[in-house]
Amino acid sequence: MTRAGSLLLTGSTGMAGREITRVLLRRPDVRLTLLLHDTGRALSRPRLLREVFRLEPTPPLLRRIRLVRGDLTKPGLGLPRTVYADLAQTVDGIVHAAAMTRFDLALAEARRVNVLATQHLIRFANLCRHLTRFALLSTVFVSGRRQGRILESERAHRAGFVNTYEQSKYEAEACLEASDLPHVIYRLSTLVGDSQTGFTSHFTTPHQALRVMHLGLASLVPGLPDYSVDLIPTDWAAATIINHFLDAFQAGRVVHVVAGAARSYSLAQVIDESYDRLGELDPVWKARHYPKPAIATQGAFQLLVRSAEQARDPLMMGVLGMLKYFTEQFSYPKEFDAHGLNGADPAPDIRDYYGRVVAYCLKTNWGRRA
Amino acid sequence: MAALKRSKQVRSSVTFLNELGFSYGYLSEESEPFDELLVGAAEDAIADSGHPPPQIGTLFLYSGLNASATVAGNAPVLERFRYPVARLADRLKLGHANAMGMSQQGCSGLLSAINVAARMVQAGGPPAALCVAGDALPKGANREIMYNVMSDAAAAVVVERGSPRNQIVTFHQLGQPAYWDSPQQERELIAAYFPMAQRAICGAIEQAGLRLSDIRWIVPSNVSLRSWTILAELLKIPPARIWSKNIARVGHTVCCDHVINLRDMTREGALETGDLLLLFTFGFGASWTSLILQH
Repeated sequence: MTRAGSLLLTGSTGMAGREITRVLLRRPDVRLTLLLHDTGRALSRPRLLREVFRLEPTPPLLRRIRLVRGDLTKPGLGLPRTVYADLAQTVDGIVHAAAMTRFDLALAEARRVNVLATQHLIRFANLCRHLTRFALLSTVFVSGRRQGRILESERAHRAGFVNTYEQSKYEAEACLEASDLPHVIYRLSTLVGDSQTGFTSHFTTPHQALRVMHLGLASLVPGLPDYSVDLIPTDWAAATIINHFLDAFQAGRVVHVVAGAARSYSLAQVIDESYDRLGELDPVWKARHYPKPAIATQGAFQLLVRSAEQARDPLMMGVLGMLKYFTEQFSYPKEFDAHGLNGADPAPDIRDYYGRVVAYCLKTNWGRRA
Repeated sequence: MAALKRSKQVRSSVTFLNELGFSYGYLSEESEPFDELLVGAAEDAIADSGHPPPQIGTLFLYSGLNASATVAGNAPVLERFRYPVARLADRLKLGHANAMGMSQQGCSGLLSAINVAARMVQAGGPPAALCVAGDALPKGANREIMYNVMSDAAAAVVVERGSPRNQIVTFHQLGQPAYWDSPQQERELIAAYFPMAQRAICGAIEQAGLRLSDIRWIVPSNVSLRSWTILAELLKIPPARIWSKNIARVGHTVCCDHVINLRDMTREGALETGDLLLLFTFGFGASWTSLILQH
């Protein structure tokens, strides 16, 4: 069954949200309300379409898109009451893609953005008279320090978390599960860019790790060499989520949006491939013969971090600090069950597009060059 | 360490430097010219070897500090031809020896000099070569370099054909000349240190046809104890296999650590005949060097 309608999307300017917006606007039966943060740049709809969503602002497209500005962390979503009430009357689907994806936040701050905002949106959704579906974008790393096979049907565990992002998304999922809303939770692995062009709107942890290698500052990576690093392309993830949400929605499901081990590199392979691709694309860099980082134990890595912190070395603290909030995951090997997407196209194999991602990072100097 | 901190010769806190494993640094006295340390070390090594001076056909004098920086720019040209190695040969009465100065491999230099000397001795001619090395930092200089505390020191080794102890099993050096600009590339060097160290040590082991478990002792350069703890984790060896006592009590000298450590290990009875020893160091320039000896 195909069922679209009037959808509310949060987080539309984020890495996943941009692609989801593009996918939704390709479907003529969708009318879209984008809830934008009120501190963001107040772009007009045509400029937003062109500059953020890379779409030509044609009149038919403009007619299908509405912008409202608010703040999910505030009661009433930070919207004027009339707007809030109007949306509650018209919205029949919600895609909650807004999140703070930084790993280094204090837990209270991560909770404020990821949990409190979800609670406010659930409260709003409960007022939506025509609501038929609610999607929460989450992360497969709500599994935290668990190891082994991770089922979609599982959430609760006591293994602990590597960072506050994981914990706050875990708690956000719990809020939605406790509601009576018709919902699906999409747990994504790690978005890395467009499978066709390598484009990425946000240079996130995998890109920054690549940059550290390019700067010759990669020393130790804690983890297990054969840890499967599950990376997924943004375009595939967005299309897969929206196709499922609109065409195969089953309330109460959790869906892992992952590539799977067979279509992923191991940790050792990611490092090898990164150096090979950088070397092919940047001969000057290749001539510097920067060594690949050694894959180390958590203990060894933490000692190095401690040295940089005690020596108050700002650059090394920056580099190692960026790594320390997520690389701990590489010591907890896991395989994500992915039955929820049964029938959907599998993710492209990382081997087929990783070079494009590396090339895009180099071409744009990690977003510093237009 | 506290005295070095008071004289502003280290930047970090004493607590931090202690935690890195450093307790003492040795500074050469102004009243005792550094040359005398070199002469003393060389005389001891010759006496210990039992070789009369005529059997020593080669004298290498290694300094890890950039020699071109030690002569003032406006000094008379002849100052640039005043050679410490010739003065040393004269003091040691080694006028017959082929005396040559060596430099510019940082902490790797003495191990490289020993390797070159061993090849020369093995090729024929006089049965022994003398390798002398040492460095003293200028008075008042900063002694904290890349998380390490530097001491002044001199050391000497006689390399002889058919030596009954400390036979060279293999020498393995990985050069990375792209890192030549040490002041500008300090961070890159810190980042490269561990992966390259792992490769240089494992490469030597493989080259010698050994396993890491065959090595009785890792004889370290006396860089921070913490760095050796990290390296032990990378190599999956127990830290107790690294003879690290001298890091606290001697500190890190530019290039004499291994010789000082071997002497102290011998004195403490830590070595038995047949023990396989792996000497490892990083040198600015840059190079990562392993020398495997059989005691």
